[in-house]
Amino acid sequence: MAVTFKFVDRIDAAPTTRLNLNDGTSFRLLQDPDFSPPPMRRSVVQTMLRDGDYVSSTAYENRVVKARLLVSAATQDALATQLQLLHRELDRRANIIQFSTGETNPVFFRTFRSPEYALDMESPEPKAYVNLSIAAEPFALGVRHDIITSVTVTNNPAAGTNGMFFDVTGVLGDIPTPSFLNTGPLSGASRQTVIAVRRRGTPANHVFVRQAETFANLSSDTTLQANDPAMSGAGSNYIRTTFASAGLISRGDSQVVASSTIDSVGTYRIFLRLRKTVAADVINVQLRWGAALTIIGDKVATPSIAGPFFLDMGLIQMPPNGAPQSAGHDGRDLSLMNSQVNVYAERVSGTGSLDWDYMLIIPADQELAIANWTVAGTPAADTYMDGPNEALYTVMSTDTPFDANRRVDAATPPIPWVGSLPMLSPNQTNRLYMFWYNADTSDSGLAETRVCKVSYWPRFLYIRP
Amino acid sequence: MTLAVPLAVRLKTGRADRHVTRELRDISYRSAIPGGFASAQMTLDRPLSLDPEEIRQFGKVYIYDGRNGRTVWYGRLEDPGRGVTAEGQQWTLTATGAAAHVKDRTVPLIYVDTSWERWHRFGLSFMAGRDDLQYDNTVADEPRLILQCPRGVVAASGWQVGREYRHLRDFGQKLARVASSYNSGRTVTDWRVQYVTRDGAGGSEIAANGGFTTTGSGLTVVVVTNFANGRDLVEVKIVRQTSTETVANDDTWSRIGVGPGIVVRAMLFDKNGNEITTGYTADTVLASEVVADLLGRLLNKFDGANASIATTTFAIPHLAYPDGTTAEKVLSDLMGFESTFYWAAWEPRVTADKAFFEWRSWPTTVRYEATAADGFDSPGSAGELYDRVKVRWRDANGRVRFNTRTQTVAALADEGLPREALIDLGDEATTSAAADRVGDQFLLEHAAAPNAGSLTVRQPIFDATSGRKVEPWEIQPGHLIRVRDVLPRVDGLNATSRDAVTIFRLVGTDYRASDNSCTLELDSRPRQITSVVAKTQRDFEYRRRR
Repeated sequence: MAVTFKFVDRIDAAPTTRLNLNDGTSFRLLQDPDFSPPPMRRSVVQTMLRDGDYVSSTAYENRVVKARLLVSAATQDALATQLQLLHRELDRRANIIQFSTGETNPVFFRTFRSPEYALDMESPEPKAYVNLSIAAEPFALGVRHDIITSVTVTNNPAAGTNGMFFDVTGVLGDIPTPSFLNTGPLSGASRQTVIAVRRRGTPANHVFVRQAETFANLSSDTTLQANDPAMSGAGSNYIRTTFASAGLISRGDSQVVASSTIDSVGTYRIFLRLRKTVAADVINVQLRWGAALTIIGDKVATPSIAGPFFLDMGLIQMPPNGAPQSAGHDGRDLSLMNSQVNVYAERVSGTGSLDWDYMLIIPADQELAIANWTVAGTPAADTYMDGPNEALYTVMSTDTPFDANRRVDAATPPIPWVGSLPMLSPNQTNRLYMFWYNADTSDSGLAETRVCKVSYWPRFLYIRP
Repeated sequence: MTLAVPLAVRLKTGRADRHVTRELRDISYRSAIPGGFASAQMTLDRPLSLDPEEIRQFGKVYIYDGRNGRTVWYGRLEDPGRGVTAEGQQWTLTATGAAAHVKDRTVPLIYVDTSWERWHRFGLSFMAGRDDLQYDNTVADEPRLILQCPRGVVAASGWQVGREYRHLRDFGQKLARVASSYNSGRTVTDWRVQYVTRDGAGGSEIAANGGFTTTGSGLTVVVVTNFANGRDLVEVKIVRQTSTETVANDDTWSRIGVGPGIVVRAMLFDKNGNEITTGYTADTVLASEVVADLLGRLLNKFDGANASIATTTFAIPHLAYPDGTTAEKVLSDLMGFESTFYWAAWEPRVTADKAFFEWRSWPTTVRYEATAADGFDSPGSAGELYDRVKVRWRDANGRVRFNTRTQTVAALADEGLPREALIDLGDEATTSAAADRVGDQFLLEHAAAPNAGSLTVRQPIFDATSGRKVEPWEIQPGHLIRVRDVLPRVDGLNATSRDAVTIFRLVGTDYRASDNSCTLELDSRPRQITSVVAKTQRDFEYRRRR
């Protein structure tokens, strides 16, 4: 089968050809193009204080696609016309080259303006040899893969399925790729959304939620309560601190990661779901962990609302004592035990109690983003987290970003967000954690759901099997 | 071209809010103590023919750690530059950290004023009355105000002479406390020493009213208790009450300011911007109270309500800026009184778009553990050792005076080499106690040779405070760092404070994404041109009239 090597208008299974560089008539590939993987740029530390160099960071550089073509025509004038067509494509600020060996799936290279090439005319015959060197982005991209067309995520970690998470498996490609997420419509209300990913090891081994009713060593004024449907979980599903002792003391503790599993090692961002019986009470919460609880987190003030609400307690790392990833040169990851974290609380003023529902332990060592979706009026628009473009926007719910209309909702204001959007790793289960709450941090409801969709463009270093 | 490290950069203006990470050529940022986030530079590959809405003067810049969403730098854009180089069309953006806000406003400010230079004879004084400043004959050698009705004057009821202090009104501040002591040439009840407090709307009262007494008496008034909130002018006077007297001798006088002199305190704001109308029980002010006042009065871009302000202990006897000042200068002066404290402004943590502010003391426990493997330079200098200092100051009457403070420095004593520095507190009046304090704080900081060094970090180091390894871009100044493979002192591992060899104060960080390296400035600024120029500029401004 003939090799496909042509300029196209977009990355798609059936794109429009702009210029076919191997049509067998005007343009013919004389040999397979050079798609050598892109070079790697390394930040290397050299010092006389140790043997060897230390590589502190790496990044791929752009690649150069090289190809040798024979351009031929009936006349010299016709040859000039064909070369002009080639010049126009090479001179475009950005272009796309589609490539396939004929026995592989197509891949696409996003190229940069590269009008310089070696031209060898074969006068008086109307033909020329052309050696192309086209600058391109490092990776070849595959056709968009809509890997999840619909998954319902519930804003309740105790939900039967997809309670604050969902898995993405079967990702194609050679290297991690940015995700393209449709996180559903806003349902007419502003939402702050936290989304993170764990894409190494076996993410399911990480227990990302600890229900407060499982907390141990409760203080004397902290007790298990009967079931409250406003709280997550079945049976007795929350604990209450009445502040008989109002000072900053430990109210309970919990293991934050599963013991004896290497998948627990990492950095996490902790969120607590809490509720106050008196909104105006001034209550502060703090985490402490490590040997003798010597690592003391920030003292976080609860908002002046009753809730339930989420409280961002910051980052912890397990293990917290700087132990290495593996022992010596063994190569096997060390796991851990005794990842206890104590929750402290104080009531500075007021008379009410503090209810604890659960603790979220969200992975924060790969990608984590927090977006503040603001609704303008009541738009019927879906929210999109566009990883390749690092942009958040809304598209009318009657459309998709890829259909004939593709209409962005211009009434949605700019969406402020922090962090990085999730990447997806091939040959790996990617667990996306997602939850949301109102702009004032109050919970929008345990039963609230969002229908999400996940797409991506696989990345390859050369070709796609 | 993208960055090699997982940083994300966001630009936000009133019109646009955009992540520009993918368009960055490089980024570097700096943090320092005092101040917090200091500066950042980045280069964007953008066509010059566009006017991006996310690039505007004073637009906000956020740099995040993409792994966990934490803010590693925050500030606002200064003049965005653009140009064409051999590498194409580029926008060069320079941003200053939130700390730049402390220079935004220059205002006159009074906190505690003991100077007689701002007391002027008021218009109701009778022509024959005398008001003179004289030095007493005590060791303190302080000026006192003498108010007298001279011999031969026929003083009817209401006869008065005195001075007024109106700078609070001129500066838009309010009166909180006035305190002094007095004695008189005779003991008589028909002659009174009074404070009269007034506001600009005609309100007034006699806040204090003491009879002439040769044994002396205190005269202290505070807001709410003795005069109404809102008074911004005070008069100190002697007044004839009731009958008429023809003064027969020279004894009809009172000396104001016996003992500690006269003290005027202005009303403070709390960090939330609310007036503090109670608690003015001292003739001094604490640095922590001044910090809170600055937050509530001037620094509205800092999150005053959620600021962290550690309480200080030194009672500042005089703090006044009648010729104008910035919050930066005030904070710098406060650190002169409390050398173990610093201030810093970081990213918004609670209130959107309002930087978190802290005034805190240097920690005494080590936070970071690092090695010298990636580069270490500590030239050291004995030139920073001093065993004495002379402090030049002006007293309440404007007279230039010098206080000398001393300490024992073993390295100097061993060689019999005295070294003396000079500190000039400027032309603003202050007190002997304040001059002593500044001198003592200076000597404290110059008792051991500082290590004006730098450490390069290009790999993760351990952070004991958070219990995790942190990347070079996460390291923050304002903490102690131990450099492991530097020659240790005997108790270096157990030291809880700086020992100038193994353990250092981390006073600055300079991170560059292109090679993922962070240069840490240890103890004091390394001898770089930029640091020397900055210090010279600060010294010049310090010596100008405050």
